[in-house]
Order: sequence, then C-alpha cells, then structure tokens
Amino acid sequence: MMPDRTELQARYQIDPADEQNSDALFREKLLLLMPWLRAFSQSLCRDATLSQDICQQALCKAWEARGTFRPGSNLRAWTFTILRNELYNHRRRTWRYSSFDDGIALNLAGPNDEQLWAVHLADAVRALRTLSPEQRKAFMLVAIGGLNCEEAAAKCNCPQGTVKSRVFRARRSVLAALNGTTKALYNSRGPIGETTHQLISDLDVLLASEERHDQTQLPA
Amino acid sequence: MTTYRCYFIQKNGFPAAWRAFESKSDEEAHDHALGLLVAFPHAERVEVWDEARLALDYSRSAMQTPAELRRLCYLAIAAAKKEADPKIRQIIASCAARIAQDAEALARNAN
Repeated sequence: MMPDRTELQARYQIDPADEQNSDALFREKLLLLMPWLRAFSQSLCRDATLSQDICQQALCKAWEARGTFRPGSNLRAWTFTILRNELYNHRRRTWRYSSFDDGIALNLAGPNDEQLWAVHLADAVRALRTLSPEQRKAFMLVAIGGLNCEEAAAKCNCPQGTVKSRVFRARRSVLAALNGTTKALYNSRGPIGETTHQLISDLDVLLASEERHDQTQLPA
Repeated sequence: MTTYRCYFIQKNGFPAAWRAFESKSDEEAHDHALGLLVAFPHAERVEVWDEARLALDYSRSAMQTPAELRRLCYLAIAAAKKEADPKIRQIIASCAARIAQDAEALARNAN
C-alpha cells in the first residue's frame, strides 16, 4: 500500500543523490503516513481526542528527530514506535491525575468557620501594622514572601543575623498583638478585603523595590 | 492546481489504498474522491488530504438514498473520464453501472 521510494522520487522530483539530506522527502513521507498514524493512534487510544493529540505529538517528535532516521529503513515502523512511546509516556504521566468534575466540585462542602478564618487573617494583617518598618519589611520578606534569611538580608542590605533578629522580634510582637496585649491592633479597623489586598500590594512593592535596587547595583 | 491525496479506509481504520490527483478546489477534489470510492468496494470511508490538512472524511454509510447513489454514479463516471489508467477506468465504469442498478432498485422499492 505504501508508495516505494522510486515512486516518491519521481512524483516529487527529488534527486536520489540528495535524499539523505532531503527534509522535503522526509516531510512528504510523513504526510503520506498520516492516515496510518491516525488509525494506529486510534486503535491504541480508543479515544478520538487523545488519539489526535498523541498523533500530533508523535508527528512533531518524528520531525524533530528526523536527523536520527536512517534512510532506507522502515519509516512507518519508526513513526509507529515513536507514537507508541508517546502514548506510554502520556499514560505514565497522567495515571496520577484524575479529571476535574465541576459538578462534584460544586457540591463539595466549604471549610468550617470560613468567616472566622477571614477575621483571623484580617487580625494578622492589622498586627503587622504594629511593627517597625525594618521589622515589618524583614518579616514580610521571610514569612510572607517565602525568602530565606540570606536572600532577605541581601534584599534589606543588612547582615543575615540582623534579619534573623528582626524576624524573631517581629514574630514576638505579632503574637503579642494577636493575644490582645497590644492595643494598637484595634486602632485601625478597615474592611477585611481591603486589608488583605493592602498586605499583598505591600509585599509586591517591597519585592519590586528590591528588584529595582538590585538592578541599580549592576555595573553600568 | 493542488495535489490532493485520497485514502480509502477499511473498517479497521487503516487505509487500504491511496491515490494522488490534482484538483482546482476542495469541492472538485471531494467529487473526484467520491467517484473513485466506487472502485474500492471494501473501503468504508474515504479521506482526502491536502498536505497535512484533512479536506474530506466521507463515510460510505452516508450513501443510502437513491438520489445519493445516482449522484455517486455521476461522479464515478466523471472520475473515470479523468482517470489515465485504463484498467482503473474500466473498474470505475463497471462499478458505476452496478451502483446505477442499485439506485434504480432502491427507487422501485421505495415506490
């Protein structure tokens, strides 16, 4: 059923001497094989959408690896092997995933005391306002921004030990504020959403300003 | 003129045969492929490809009414006229004649 090489050479006017380096011939052969690849993919996957995806990925990989194909060997067997391996890789990657069902997700119960958690978050944001600017900056970079002490020290332009002590004192102050021993916590009460957004935007500003600071330190 | 590739697909999904031909448009290529399909009675479907684009995927099961069979017969005769290979031309013509008979029989039964 597959056309032989001389037929392809005649049809597409390809010089046999250039065949080894000819991407055009490889492309034509791949194009001719597409229905066979589709059928093979469908027979393996038993799913129309998945089989099309696998077929497309296999074709891309075959094209990328065209340099490794030995001219004269069986291209159909070679591409079929690529397709089969692509499917194996796909199954190996996806067995641990399950599809997300919107219907089930809608019926899932939410967490208990959702409003209480929001209040706790707002309290934590307000507690941060009780800190000095240096402590607040170090605490936000380490506790909220996720930086380690070394990175935070570089950002704050101070020794690592200073950052550690600032974070320690900040934690102690925040805990004290949350336990109600600091009156400043309730000095400013704003909407919870606003305080949360304020916290996130403060962190963004801190990180962005430090990035600018890093850039300014680069040699001109 | 565009070079189209026409594949005749078996029930198992794999191509049984293929032919390349030139056509001015997708519509003309569709008609020619359908005309050629009559010469491959074991093919379940026909796929027409333009490079990597699937231009037509037509199932034989879609041809059920006498009018569709008559149209197929007409397309087969047109395809036979374009066909260079006399052997294939003869096969298409004989298959077209059989389809014409089928169409007449279907129409009689319907009446």
